Parts: sequence; structure tokens; C-alpha cells
Amino acid sequence: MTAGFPLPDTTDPRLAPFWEAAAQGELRLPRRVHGTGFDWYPSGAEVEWVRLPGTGRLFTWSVVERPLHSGYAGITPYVSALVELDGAPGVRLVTRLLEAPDRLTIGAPVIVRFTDLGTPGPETAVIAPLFVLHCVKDKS
Amino acid sequence: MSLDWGWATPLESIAGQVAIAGVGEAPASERSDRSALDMAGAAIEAAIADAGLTPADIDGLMIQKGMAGQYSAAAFHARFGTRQDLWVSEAGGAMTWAGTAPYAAAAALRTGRARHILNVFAIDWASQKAAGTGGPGDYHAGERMKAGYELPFGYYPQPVYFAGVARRHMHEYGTTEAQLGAIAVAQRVHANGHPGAVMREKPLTLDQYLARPMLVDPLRMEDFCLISDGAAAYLMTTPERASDLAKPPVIVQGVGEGVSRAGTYFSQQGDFTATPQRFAAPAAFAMAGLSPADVDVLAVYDPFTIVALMQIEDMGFCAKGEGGGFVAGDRLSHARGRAKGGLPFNTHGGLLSHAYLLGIAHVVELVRQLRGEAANQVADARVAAYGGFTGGDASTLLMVCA
Repeated sequence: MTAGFPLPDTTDPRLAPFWEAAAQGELRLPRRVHGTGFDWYPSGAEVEWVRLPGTGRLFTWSVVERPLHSGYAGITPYVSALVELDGAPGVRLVTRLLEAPDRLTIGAPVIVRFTDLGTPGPETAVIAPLFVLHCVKDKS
Repeated sequence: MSLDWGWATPLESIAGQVAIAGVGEAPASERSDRSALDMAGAAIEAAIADAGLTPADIDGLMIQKGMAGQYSAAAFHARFGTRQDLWVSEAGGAMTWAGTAPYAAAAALRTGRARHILNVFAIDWASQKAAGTGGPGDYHAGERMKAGYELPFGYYPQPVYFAGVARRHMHEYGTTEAQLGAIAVAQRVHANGHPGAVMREKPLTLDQYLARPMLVDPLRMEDFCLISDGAAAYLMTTPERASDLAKPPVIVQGVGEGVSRAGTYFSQQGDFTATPQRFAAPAAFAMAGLSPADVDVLAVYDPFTIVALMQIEDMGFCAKGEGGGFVAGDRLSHARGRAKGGLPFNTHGGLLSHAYLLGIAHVVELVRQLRGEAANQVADARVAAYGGFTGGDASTLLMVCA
């Protein structure tokens, strides 16, 4: 039951390494071989897909209360989020947070959770880097 | 904040070279089942009549690139029974291009390629939406990186982009929901006083705004533009010719265009809570020899309240980050002019409450303000500014009374 959900073309060469890594439970983004920084979104520069720790901070979010795309019925309401990733300065990852919105603050630590794109609705069989809050334990 | 995230397109000065001599519209509405082509024709016919010209006088036509159902030379001749050669340009239309069309028109007027040029834009998205096709999300849904990456994560369509921007603006600058609401309310009051506004009969108070449910938190339905049917056109010629026509000419004094390096990949824009107006507006004011303090009436492409707010800041009407406090109260009302500390803003109601004609109706409204024939007339309006926006691009168009 994934009718209408906007699934990615995981074979598109510009993003295939991203989706392949996610299927293995890894977050990888394209870092430029020449020059500095990440080639995000991919422009065709020569890159290596480096593995990232999967932690970061919440840059901003919104709460979509009603499906604005018919395919989103199974995930709505949901938290749309942009995440600044540790190890990838300058990149804001587009993702969803699997959290109740009243717990969120900008700058909050978050951590990746590889799960089905359609979570919590019908399965899509595509694994993606969604995020949850990262509750860092108080060591004092 | 570094400014390496975009740039101003280098433009030669066209100050004083183009006059807007006629404006016209097809009535804006909710679903009407009128075709874009028919509405464009009606708007063109009204603009020609407004200028005191005849269809045979028209020798230039500007339309928006890449949008189906816009006008053509063949449609013009079919409607008006004319045969003359028409210069046709795809550098016109609405959004950013409602502000930059005069720049392309200036070259055609200068070389004599055309003498009377119409810029027209028509849209039937209210009817398309009712039919389950088309609409503002289509471009984004079809773009490769968006389809392959953003849509699968629920980052779609535009309300989701700009709700995230609004949340970040609130975080960085302390902007509040009530301040966004002040924009929605000011524009609704203007629509209530404008005979052509779709929301003319629907009042909105700030209390009512705040009581409305969130659609994409922190934005409500009232923060979103309408979806409409309608069309508008404006007629350009030289100031010399315009002085012999029916209406007082409005002179184009400055044009600026700004570009964001990230284009419509909003999530990656270097300054996340800004618009390319940051680059367009200074260029236009420099061309015109004017400053934001000289502007009597402002109309800005307002797909969402937050986008209006950011452009007010980025065009220099207040300091960056102070837009929330600036728009509160009655500052944006047409009745409170600059002399009283106001900034008459989207005096027809804008995309939020007049109609979603993607900005060309904003330019029509400003021309009427400078002629003194607006429904919500700003007293002694002599200088008008339009802020056009496409996401990845923005434009500023400065117009003055002759």
C-alpha cells in the first residue's frame, strides 16, 4: 500500500550512493575530491561519498498537519526538518523527525534512525535516514 | 552574514527610457473555467483601451517563459483581426519578470524594433486545481533533485519550505506569529476595500488570525496565497510617446535583478532567512538614484507572509531581522503614508487576499497608485516599488510619476 507515495529513483546516478548507503544503515554524502566541502546538491563534481557519524543539530522544522501531497496521507501529520550534520559543514540535510513537535527546539541534538521512508504509515521498502532527538546522557 | 550566496545581474541603466502607458485585467476569481488564453486576451484588450490605443498600434508582446497557455502572436491576431508584425519576447510575464520586463522592452524601444509593447500574464490554476491538475507545486514535483530526494522526505510543496524559513526567522530574530498575522490582516483590509479582490467580502482581524488552526506550523491558511484565475497586462512605450496617450505616464526609473546561488533548493541557501532581494533592490535603487525612504507605496510578491516580511527587510525598508516589529500595527495600511511612519503595502490585497496572479496585478496596482486612481489610494504617491520573487531570483522595479 504505497500508492502515490513519492518514492525516489534510487538508481539515479547522482543520488544512488546516498540511497545505497542508507539501505546498509550508513549516512554518506559526496565530498569534493578537489577543493573543499561537500558537493551538495550534487553538481557533477568529482566526489567521494564519505560516511558521516549521523549526528547533528536541528536547523529548523515545520509540522505538516494536513497532507499537501496525496502520497503523504500515511505519514501525516509529520515533522519536516533540516538538520546540520556533524562532519559536513555547510550541508543542511532534508529529512523528517520521528518526534512529537512539542519536544523540539532549534539547535537540539539529533541522531539518524534508518527506517522505512513511509514510517509510520505503509511500508515503501526504501530505507532512509530519518532522525530522532539525541538525548545526550548527563555524565556528571 | 556573508553575501557570497548570490549576486545582482549586471544591468545597464534604463532610467527614464520606458513608460507604462496602459494597464488592464481580466477579473480575478476563484474557479471560473475560463482559459488562460481568453483571460490574457481580455487583459490585453483592457490595457490597450486604457492607453487610448488600438490593437493595430501594438507591435510587441512579452510573455512568461516555460508556462503553458500563455499568449502568442497568433492568439493576438485571431482575437483582434490584425496582421502586423509582432516582436515577441519570453522575458516577460509575472513573478520576477513582472519587474524585469521593462528592461528587455527598453532595448526593443531603443532600437525601434517595437513602439508599443504589452507584457501579459494569465493563470487558470483555480480551475486546474478543481480539475485535479496543475498548480504551483508542479514545477517542484518535476525537478530532478526534488523528485529524487526532497519529495520522498515530505519536503514539498512550497508551504513546507517557507514554514521552515519562518521558524528559523522566529528563532534568529524573535519574529512572532502575530507579526506574520499583521501582514495578513493589513492585506485583507486592503482587499476588503478593493473591488477586484477575491477576498473582498471576507474580513480578517488579528484575533481571528490567531484563532485559526496551523496548516504547516508555524503557518496558517491565512499566511498562504490564494489560488486564482485571472490575468493582467501592462503596456510599455517611450516616455515621449506616452505623454501623448490617454493616461498620465508612469516612468520606469530603476530595475534590479538578484539571483540566489542555491536557486530553488531553498534548504541550501547560504542565508536561509533572506531573499535575493538582498541583491536586486540595491541595484534598482542605484539605477534610479533613489532610496527606500523615497518610496511612497510598495507591492511585493507575497506567496506567504514570511516571504513578504523577508523582502521588506531585504529591500532595505527596515534593518534585517527587524521586519517583525516593523510590520506590526497599522504600518502597512494605505491610509498611513510614509510621512506618518507607515509603509503602504500591497494595497490591492496581494497574492494573499487580492488574487494569485503571481505579481503582475501588483504592478498594475502600483501604476494606478501613481496615477491617483487606486481603490485604496495612497495620498500623494509619487514613487512606487515592486518586489518580484521566483524563489531563486528576485527583482525590484522602481516607478515614478512623469
